[in-house]
Amino acid sequence: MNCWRVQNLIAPFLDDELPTPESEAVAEHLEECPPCRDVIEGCAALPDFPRVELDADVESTLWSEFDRCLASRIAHSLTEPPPGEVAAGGLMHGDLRVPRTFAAAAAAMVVMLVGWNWMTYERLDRLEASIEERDALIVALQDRVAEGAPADAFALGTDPETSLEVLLPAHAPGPMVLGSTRMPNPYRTTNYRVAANPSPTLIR
Amino acid sequence: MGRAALKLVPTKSAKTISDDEIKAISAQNRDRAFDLVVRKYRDRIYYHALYITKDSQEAFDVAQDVFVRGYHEHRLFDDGFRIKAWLFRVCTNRCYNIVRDKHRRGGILDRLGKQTEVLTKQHKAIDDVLARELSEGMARAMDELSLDHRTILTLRYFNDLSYQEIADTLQIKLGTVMSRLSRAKVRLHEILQETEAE
Repeated sequence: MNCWRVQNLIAPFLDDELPTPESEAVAEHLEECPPCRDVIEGCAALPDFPRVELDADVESTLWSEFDRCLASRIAHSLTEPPPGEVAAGGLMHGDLRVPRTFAAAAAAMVVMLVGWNWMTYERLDRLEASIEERDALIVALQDRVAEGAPADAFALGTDPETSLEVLLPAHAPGPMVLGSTRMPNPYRTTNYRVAANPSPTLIR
Repeated sequence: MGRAALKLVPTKSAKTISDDEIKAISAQNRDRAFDLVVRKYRDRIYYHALYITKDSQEAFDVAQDVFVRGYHEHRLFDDGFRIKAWLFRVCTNRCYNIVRDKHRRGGILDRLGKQTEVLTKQHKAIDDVLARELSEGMARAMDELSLDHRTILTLRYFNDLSYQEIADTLQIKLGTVMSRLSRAKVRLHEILQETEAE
């Protein structure tokens, strides 16, 4: 038995609460270890624990007042929920104490999960809308081609004011602006040649 | 459940009666059994709270809370229910809340009306006695212990709880009671040695 273990058994050893084999092991260690022997002798020599000694009159008055107050509180509690169900520093349910920090962390996690789910559904909704829009634009381009317009006559672009996708003439006068168009779909970005067209036409 | 009729019971019989005998009485008269529980444990619960909170008013309120909860505890007189450990556990948890959060709960008595002058004087007298005791070597050393160490020493050496009862009260393992109690005594010894060296 080592010193650390012995010093964790000082109180039950002195109180004669240890089983015989362990008590003998502690005694054997003490014979060979002066430091542990000094510690245990010091603990054995501790003075008696202090007790508050009250005058008989004070104590008598205290208990009569205690009984009177207790009777009043019990009568009062019968008309209200019993006290002590919520304790400062935590929530109490029966004998279970829920620390305030745990409750706050759990509430924060719930809020984050709800918020994440809401954002995810919002993104899914926007993704579906952008796919529908893209499909409509492709159909419009195909219709134009079917009507005889050359395939490269139009290009998909983005209205800089509304950020909506538009079909623009591919060869327009004026400077050509190269850039990337950020689609409403957050998972894809596509580069388009955007023409400097003062009045883009939304094709649907 | 009607209003509790707290009757005067000779202190000697209330102190010596066992919990099993109280439970047997509860089958016939629950209020009478509750009276006996209060008489048997009120001073121990009060002093236990006093040594932890070091304030007579707080200790008084805590002791009241414990017994009001006990009155509403439907399992109190059930077979196998450990009344003593439960009372000390509720008391200890209340005291921990008060000491750690430093939140006064003195408003409880305000609900029932103004505290009597007599009671105020009693609490003042008790606080004076406590302050005097805490200025002495051993009590002052105990005052410097951590809350956990002070509590376990009070449970064992003031309230004479067994190791198993302490384990039930604090809801820790028996081995933890042994090591924590040992560490508390060692720390107390160190504090006293440091004080003597000064």
